[in-house]
Amino acid sequence: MQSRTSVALEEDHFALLGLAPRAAVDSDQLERAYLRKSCETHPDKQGLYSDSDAALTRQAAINEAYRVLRDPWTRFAYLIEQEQPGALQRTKQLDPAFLLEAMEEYETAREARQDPAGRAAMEARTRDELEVMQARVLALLDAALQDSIQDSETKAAAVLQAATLLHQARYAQRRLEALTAQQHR
Amino acid sequence: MTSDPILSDETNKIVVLGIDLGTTNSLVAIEDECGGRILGDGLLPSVVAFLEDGTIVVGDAAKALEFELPGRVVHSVKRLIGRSMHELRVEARRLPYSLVEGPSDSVRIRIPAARGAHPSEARDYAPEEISAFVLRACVDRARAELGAALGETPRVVLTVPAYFDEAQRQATKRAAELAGLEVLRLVGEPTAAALAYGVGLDAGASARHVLVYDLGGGTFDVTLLKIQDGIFRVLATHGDTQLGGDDFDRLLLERLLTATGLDRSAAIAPSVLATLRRSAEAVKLRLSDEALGPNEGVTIEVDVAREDATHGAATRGAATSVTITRNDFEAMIQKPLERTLASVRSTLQDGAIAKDDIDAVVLVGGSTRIPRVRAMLTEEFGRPPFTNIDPDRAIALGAARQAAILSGADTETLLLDVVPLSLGIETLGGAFSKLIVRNTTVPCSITEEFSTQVENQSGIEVNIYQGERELVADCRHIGSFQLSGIPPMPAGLPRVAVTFTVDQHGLLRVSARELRSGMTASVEVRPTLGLSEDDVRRMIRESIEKAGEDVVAREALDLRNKATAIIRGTEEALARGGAGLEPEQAYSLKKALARTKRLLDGNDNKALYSAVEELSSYTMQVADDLIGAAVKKALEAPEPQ
Repeated sequence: MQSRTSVALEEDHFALLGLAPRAAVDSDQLERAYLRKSCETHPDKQGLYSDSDAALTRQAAINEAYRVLRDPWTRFAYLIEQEQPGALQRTKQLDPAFLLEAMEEYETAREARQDPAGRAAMEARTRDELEVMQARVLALLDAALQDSIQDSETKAAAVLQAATLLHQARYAQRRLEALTAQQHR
Repeated sequence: MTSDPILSDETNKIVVLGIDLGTTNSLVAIEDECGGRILGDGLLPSVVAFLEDGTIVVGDAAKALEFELPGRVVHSVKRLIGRSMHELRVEARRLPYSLVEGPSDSVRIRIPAARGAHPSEARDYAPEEISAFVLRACVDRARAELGAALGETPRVVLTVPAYFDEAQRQATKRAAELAGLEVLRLVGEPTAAALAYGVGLDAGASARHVLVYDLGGGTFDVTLLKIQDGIFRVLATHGDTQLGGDDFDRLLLERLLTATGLDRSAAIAPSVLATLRRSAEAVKLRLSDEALGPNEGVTIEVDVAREDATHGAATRGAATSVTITRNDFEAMIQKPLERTLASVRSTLQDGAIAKDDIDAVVLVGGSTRIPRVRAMLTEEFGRPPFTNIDPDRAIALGAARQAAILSGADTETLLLDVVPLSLGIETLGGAFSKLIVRNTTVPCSITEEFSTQVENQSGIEVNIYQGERELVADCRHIGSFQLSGIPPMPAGLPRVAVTFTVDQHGLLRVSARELRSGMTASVEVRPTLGLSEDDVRRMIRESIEKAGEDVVAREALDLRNKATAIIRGTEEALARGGAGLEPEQAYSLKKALARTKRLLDGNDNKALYSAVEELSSYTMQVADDLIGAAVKKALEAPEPQ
């Protein structure tokens, strides 16, 4: 009946916050930029009887930009789509060998429920794994963005590779969620 | 002063009030060049009394009538606002006034017909209307101090519990519209409190994480904020709009009912319930304020016989003495307090902030005076909470601060709030599809595309829900809208983009656009509960017609105060020997005194007026003697509360 679409954005998230598009972002710098822009744009700062609907729309866009860019994974997804629309869709089909391994890992994570030491070890390993993946995506994307890759084909390949890694990372994230959710029981 | 309000700099300032519309008490505040201050004298009880002669009184005067007029005095209406009759079934049983079902499962408060009048004279009020009476009383307080500067349509910043959902927020806004106010902003109560603490929390250049724990009369909120460079940003919020001091009163009330054996009565007379409810509250306050050891307690006498006319001789007898120790009380409230602690932990988790990274815990709301609450938070955070602003006043002062931000008087501060509960729509099979997740900073906006399922379908019905569960059946239905006028096309071809926006008030707006034809449509969300625009227009019209009656109501209240004072003064003077009055004088005076006293107990204000006139004419005749002096003194002294 309905479908969610990422709405065509009128203005780039980075541009809205006055930043250059980068995969690597200093979180303090991002936060400061967001707060500075909010102070300028927020409807509350426009006086009582100004046309606050325009300010509302713009502040909503700034809030959304910060929400997307703050988290590294949503930021990567955003950059990939900006560079190569449809890249995430095209890389959805993952290598069967990877999927098999991921499923086995997930099962191990579920079994680790009974074994606190094993669970802790697996959580640490999964976090490391995610960190490595994040570093790889970051390197790929920033190389593609900063024009250190001149050849457009190599550039496209780098973005697609980053997109694949993003899909793969989802499995590690889900495993981490399963591991940490058990902790609260 | 007759300076032109447009030309004068002094009066050209935009006055915006901050109002804390509480479950138990309300307050109105303003922030000007002298800083923030509360207007009026003390807390205004959020209580409305409907006298038999049609007079409506609000505040202390209404609260004082609770025993006299059981079933006609309405309190804690904030717990009803924006909720359905279905949700309130249990709650309704313990209220000393009656609830009836209004249109589409909404709640109405039924004020019975006056004695002797036909039962059909009973009047039903929406919770919004009751809140509007309280809001008007708040504005009256402000007007008494600010006068014409307030303008005809006063502008206000109104606080709501952070965890109030769409329906409860809309209903609160409606109440303000009914009271003739222009709502510039609805702001979360804990956030407002943080603003009131303001500079104290924003000390130094570094960012600070502040957790506000707000346990009021009827609601509980917890809000996590990050404060830096004058920006107060909410990171996460959680709460329970049905948990507060009222619940502790109710637990104590149950205990009193058990102790007096009244719990076995099928129906408890409203007057008894009102008396016991007051006793329960008194016990709670004493247990909170007095330094008591764990096994020390409060003993109260519960006089059941006097009140209980409907239960015959069985419950008649001597007063029952009930003792409740601090330990008893703390055991009673342990479960609800644990629930608040669970909320605190969820909030920290949602905000991704560790317990040790919290720089200050701020307490707001009257119920945080309970020593156990303070002890619990001290244990949880390893340091005592911040309490250097009166927890009753922090919210109103914060609302006034937000008012100053909006009016441009305060340019240093900015508040960034969040959506407290996820908003979404029903999808196939009754699944809840979240569009805006909780703790998203407002304003925020998302666009969703809809299409048709049948060829040439011209309309789509969309149901909006709010909550955190997976199925719409477990969430609150907050409204629906109809997309109509879709051009005839094969199924699935039309593309209707619907934009859901939560504005800075935390209120939902919906707009739609058909992408193929480019046709735009504004969408009116029909609220499941609450008042429609038409209801509001009708009620505002009625309130204008009733404006005269409201004036009468205030005059009646003044009259009663005057009568009470004159009676007190006369009695005092007579007690001192009557200062050598002539026998005829003394006789007339005593007769007029008796008549005034009798009429004060009734509702005939006209007769009371003439009696007061008569009595004061006698006391005037002997103006130079003791009576005149005593009456004069009594009239000048403020009414004891």
